[in-house]
Amino acid sequence: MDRSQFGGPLAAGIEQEIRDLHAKEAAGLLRHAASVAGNSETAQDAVQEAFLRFFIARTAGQEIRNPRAWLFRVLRNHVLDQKKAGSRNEIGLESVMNSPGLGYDPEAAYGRVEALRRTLRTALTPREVECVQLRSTGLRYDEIADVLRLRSGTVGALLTRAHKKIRAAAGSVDRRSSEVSLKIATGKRYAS
Amino acid sequence: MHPRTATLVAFSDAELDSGRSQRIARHLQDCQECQAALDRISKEKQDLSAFTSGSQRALDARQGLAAVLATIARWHEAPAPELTSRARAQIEIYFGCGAASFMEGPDIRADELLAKTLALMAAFLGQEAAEAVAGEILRGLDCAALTAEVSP
Amino acid sequence: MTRTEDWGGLESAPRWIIMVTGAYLVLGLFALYVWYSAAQRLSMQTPSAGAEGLSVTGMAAAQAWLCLLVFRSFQRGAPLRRVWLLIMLSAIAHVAGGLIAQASETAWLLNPLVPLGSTEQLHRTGLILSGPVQMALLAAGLLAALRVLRRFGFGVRPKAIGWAVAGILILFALTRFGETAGKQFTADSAISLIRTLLLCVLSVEALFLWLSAVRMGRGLIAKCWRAFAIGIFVIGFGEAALWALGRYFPGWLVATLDWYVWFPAAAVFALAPAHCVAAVRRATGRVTRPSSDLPVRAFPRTVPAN
Repeated sequence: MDRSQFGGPLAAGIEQEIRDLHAKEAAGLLRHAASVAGNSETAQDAVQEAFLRFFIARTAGQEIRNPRAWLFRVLRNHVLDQKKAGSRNEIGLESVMNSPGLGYDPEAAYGRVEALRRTLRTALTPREVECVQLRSTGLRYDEIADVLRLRSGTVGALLTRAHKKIRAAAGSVDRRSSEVSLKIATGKRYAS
Repeated sequence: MHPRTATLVAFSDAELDSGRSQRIARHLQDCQECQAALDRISKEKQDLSAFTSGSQRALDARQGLAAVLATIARWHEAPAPELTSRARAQIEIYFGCGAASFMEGPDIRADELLAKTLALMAAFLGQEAAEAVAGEILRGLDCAALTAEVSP
Repeated sequence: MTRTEDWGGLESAPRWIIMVTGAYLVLGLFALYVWYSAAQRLSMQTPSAGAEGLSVTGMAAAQAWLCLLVFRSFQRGAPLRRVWLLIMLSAIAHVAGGLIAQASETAWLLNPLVPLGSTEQLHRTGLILSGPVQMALLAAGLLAALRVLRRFGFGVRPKAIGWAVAGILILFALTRFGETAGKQFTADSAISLIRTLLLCVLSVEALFLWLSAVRMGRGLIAKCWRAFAIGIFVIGFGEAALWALGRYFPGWLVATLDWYVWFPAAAVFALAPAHCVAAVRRATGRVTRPSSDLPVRAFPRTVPAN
């Protein structure tokens, strides 16, 4: 193997590629890692890991056709690997479903969003949650399919199912909310 | 003919080909029911985004880039020797001792052997397997360990 | 984390192939022994003879499916993608030829192949597919594989003993060639001649493959390419042995033993992609490994608990 690829113009080119990618994708990667791991420190580590792996892969001569999808896939696998290794950061996707978001606001606990969150906690499958998360970071269906090792059609189907579930959940939340309002209004009338 | 929910979701995500998108756009101009369904899908997207992201603090990614670039600079100087033994182990598993001895020349650096290993895996096992082997080799090595002597 | 059973999943395909082949051969030999001991008083259905036998065809179908799995693990443009495509097509040709040849031999009024042509023509089509076509595709695939192996430094120049071994097979092939050429030239003799020539090519390729695999070692990929070499040697030496036996033993015995060349060869050809599938599944982590296989060091950074 030619030694010159480990220094010189090629290495400089790869570094610039990493800088450009980092500027474009790091924020989205960080958000996704934070929501999967439930921990900002772990998320920072995972993003660094993903970019380092990218550097190593490119230096080794690997052609990466879709760097964005590649980074998200490595990021996801790294976070899941940490879970397997028994890290204290082992929270994973369940954190999205079983605990509040990173900036939990108790005053909003009775808001519509939190009510929806509680309802969807049991309704959405982990795979659907992942699809929605990745879609919200701006990945296309084929990129999501690449990250999750699915077919593009399956991604569309999962997102459609998520839409139907949130429609049902929103409907039930809105119905409960109007029942509560009605009871409160009725209670006030009787009280007065 | 009204498009199905899955088609409208894909349309709102701009995932349909141009011909189909144009047909649906023309249909939406004349069909209030489908337009209402599309509006509902947009609202659901916001709800789903809120559900999955919670109310996260903005996280700063700039620090991470500095750490990555610093590791890359150190990598050029001295990649971790542990990488050599890990890469060799993977070659032995999939090819054999003969291949490992042949690939690991007398003065080969860890990063050179790693590059050769990944190229070999990609050629004989496919890209996905090569990436998985790369992950296996690098597992547990953080930024510091990638470029430092590994202490027992 | 618990280890999956050693016999579960595609990664155990090589074990299953070896076990089934061994059991099948033992049963067949036992049945042959019983039949022979009964002084042939029992009527016995001998296994379908030759490359187009049903059991051989079944094993070729397994090979084709495993080759498809390997082929799909390579992206477009990967050097070995074309290799596995050719080998898969070779297996498919073997399956198709075997089925056509078997079906054409069926004296059945509702034989669906009858409208396509006379049974003799169909049988010949089956023989061509499972013979020269299959061997030509395999030869093309293995030649491409040898180029890739050489590119990565696994090419080895054979020594005299290697050439001597291949030379035996080539000599046998040329003897058969001479015998056939001396007789009246028919379609069947043409098929036989082409098969013989292709066997020469495959013998040389098998020699180079064997040496490359020896240079690699005993890993899964080395076993894959070694299996192809063994399969070709089994066919070549097996046919040579049967040809020699045919001069001293009755024809029915030689025809029966023919199966014991083609079935093991088909099994070994199926073993080759099976090793590759096992390697890919192991690499991509679809094999559940015991926790002792995980690295001792977990991710070292400590993070304050939330």
